[in-house]
Amino acid sequence: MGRTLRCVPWKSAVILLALLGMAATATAATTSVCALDDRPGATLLLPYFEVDLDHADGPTTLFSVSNASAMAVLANVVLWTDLGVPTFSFPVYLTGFDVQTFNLRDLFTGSMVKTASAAQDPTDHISPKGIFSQDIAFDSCTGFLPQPDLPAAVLDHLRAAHTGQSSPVWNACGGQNRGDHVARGYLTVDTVSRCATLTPADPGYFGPGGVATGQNVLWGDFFYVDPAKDYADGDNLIRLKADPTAFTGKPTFYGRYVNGSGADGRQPLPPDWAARYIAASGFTEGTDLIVWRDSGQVVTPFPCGHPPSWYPLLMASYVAFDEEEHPFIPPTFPFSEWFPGPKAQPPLPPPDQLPAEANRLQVGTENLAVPFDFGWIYLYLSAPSHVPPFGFASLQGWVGVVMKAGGRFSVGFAGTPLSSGCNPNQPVLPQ
Amino acid sequence: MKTRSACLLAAFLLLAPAGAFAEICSLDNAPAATLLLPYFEVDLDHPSGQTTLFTINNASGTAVITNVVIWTDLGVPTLNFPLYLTGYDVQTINLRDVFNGALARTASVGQDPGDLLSPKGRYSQDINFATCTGLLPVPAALPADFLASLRAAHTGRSSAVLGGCAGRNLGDNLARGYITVDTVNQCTLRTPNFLEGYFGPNGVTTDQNVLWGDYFYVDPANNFADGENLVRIEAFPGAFKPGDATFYGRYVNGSGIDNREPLATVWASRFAVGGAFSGGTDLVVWRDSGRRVGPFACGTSPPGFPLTLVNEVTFDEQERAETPFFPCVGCQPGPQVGAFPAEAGRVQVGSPDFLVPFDFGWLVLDLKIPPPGQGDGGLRQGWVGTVMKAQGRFSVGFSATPVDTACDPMPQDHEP
Repeated sequence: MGRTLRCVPWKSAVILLALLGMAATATAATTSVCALDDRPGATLLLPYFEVDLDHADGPTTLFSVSNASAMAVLANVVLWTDLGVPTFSFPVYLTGFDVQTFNLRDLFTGSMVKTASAAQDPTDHISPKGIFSQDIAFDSCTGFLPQPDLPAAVLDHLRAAHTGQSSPVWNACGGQNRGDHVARGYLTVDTVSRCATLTPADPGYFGPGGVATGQNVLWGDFFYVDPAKDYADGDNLIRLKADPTAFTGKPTFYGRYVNGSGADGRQPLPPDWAARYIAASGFTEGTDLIVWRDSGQVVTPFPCGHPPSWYPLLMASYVAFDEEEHPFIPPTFPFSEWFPGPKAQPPLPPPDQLPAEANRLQVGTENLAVPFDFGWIYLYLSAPSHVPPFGFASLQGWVGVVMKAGGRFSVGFAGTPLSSGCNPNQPVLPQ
Repeated sequence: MKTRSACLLAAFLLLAPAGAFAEICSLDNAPAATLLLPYFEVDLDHPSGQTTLFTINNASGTAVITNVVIWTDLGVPTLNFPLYLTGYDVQTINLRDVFNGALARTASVGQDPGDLLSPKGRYSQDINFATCTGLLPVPAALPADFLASLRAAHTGRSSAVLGGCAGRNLGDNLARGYITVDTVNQCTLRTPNFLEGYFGPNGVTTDQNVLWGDYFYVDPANNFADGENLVRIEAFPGAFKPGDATFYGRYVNGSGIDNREPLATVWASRFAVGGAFSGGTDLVVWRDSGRRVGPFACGTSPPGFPLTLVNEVTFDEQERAETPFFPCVGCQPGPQVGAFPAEAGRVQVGSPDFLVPFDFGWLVLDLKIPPPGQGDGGLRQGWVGTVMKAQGRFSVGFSATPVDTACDPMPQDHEP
């Protein structure tokens, strides 16, 4: 059944690749833009990352960004702290069918991946291409690409901001300080029309004249790797499809940055998820949940020790079932306490129950208590508002699962969405 | 107050029709009426060798019956058994147990009035399926002669029960195949390839989009474990007309009455053969042969096999492309026999079965089958997964990227 590399019918290949590009750029010809599937998107979300800055062989996060079309594209990579403050953005140029891989440890040591369009790389030394791939000039990228390695001041800023320390650039904080010198946050990648220093939180990013485009061509994956423990697990990056006309006035992924106008055109995520967990048997180190949440707020740097008013994010609800379907409603379940009526100020929530926008938390620990060793958990991730009328500031989130066997292996995969981001289930409130 | 909240939440879960938000023709992870485990393997020679585990979960508060069907890697059904799920139930199955003769034992109220086999929580429905009497609970152990036939069928040897062979014999005593799980309205001995009585107005299948689950490939000796969500195939009653592609289309003569959305035909996957992933990359591929496959004489292949490919393009990280393996003369492309000859398989990128000229990059697989004259068939659906391995250290598995959907497939071109 073996085979050999033989003659190449290029015409057939050309046709396949041309069709591939067409399929990749077509938006929802037969499927809804609201489907949370693995087709290429205009935005990629790495829902959580961590890099141990103290140990070179400690946990790190890798991801790849690929271009499914023959057309060259520009992508804008944005790093956000775990509380949702953008810290750094940089452009990545992708020739047609390109793939770029990133180890975030490299970025946090100042080393940048080098790409450049034809205008900055006329001899194709930096971003070479194959015969089926477009390679064009983005004049706006001159001065941006190839991306230089990070100067010490920027590196200090990044390392401080993502470990919850005071950033010398901001003279303020942007994330949680967990005291472990692990850089945490999340990352987005958008297709854009030109190189710029903008992030989705800036004016001029979306809408008419904005830099963001609706090219549904990006795909990729991410890995969490812990070499010291021989752990590696991963999944596909979340692919958010764009449709410039589908979301006018409706919830979108970047809705908080466009005042709910839908101008970003990105599909939203759902609020309610199901995830299995194991805290015993072969998976001796239990189950971690990777949870990305939308605070519904435009978050800016804050005085250290004085996090944003919405922090910690409350959790609308979670229910854990064991394998005999016995439900466990956590004793800290807050509905009865913080929804007694429209006029009451909710009390402080339980500590550290998925309090940030990007979280990793072990099931069964104090902050996410379950009395069972095996079962599944229901999560409603909407971010309740801290201010009257105590509604929900946002209705989107994402959940992943990592199951670990001590020092042997780990397995990661996405949770199961229980509704659509376009038509989310509503939470139930006691009357 | 907390109890009341809990009741309200449970009521909410019950009222929220799981799958009501499902998007037709989208390969998302929403709960579904059919689950597909695209490939499994169990090392029958080594108890601590490779095995495959999977779970079946019920996203609704309503109790459901499912029909678990085990198929060989060439698509012959060998065993099916009903699995009863109370509301919000989860069942985990290690296929090593199945190939040792032990099936998951469940029972509805009629067969388990003391709730010893299928206990439930206070928010979960537990009802009686009278049709399950005599079928549930399944026997504690499969009969020895049946078990021997099951093991033979999945290792490509002659099965006494089937009266022939049903899968590939790769000489390694690894049981291979794939699994489907359908929601049904009664316990049944039927499988999806029955000529009648499984789908349609008088069929046993239902369109309850409530199933979710995941699967793991575990290789304890190599410290490998990786997994992914089971492929969720949602049902859309009335959405598919005759001639439309559906997941079980080959068993309903393309009538669409199975109501199940089809998979994709073209897939993209990354690969790495070196670097940190010293164990290389495996592709896990499920393909629809388009045929109702039955047992065949050992030493032969069933009609239509080995399966061929329409096209494949491999890129390195500099986007150099290769279309590597048309066994043609004068570049006249013909049917391609190669890495994915079966309905369910796992092949290492860069191995003799799947040579690639690069150590790193990505590839595009068009899993359609060349049309008559060049092969057999035409449009066929498939599914692709990726497993990257660091020898003896770790492995990472995730699904590949669907580029189209069989509801609107990329056209194929076969001009020389």
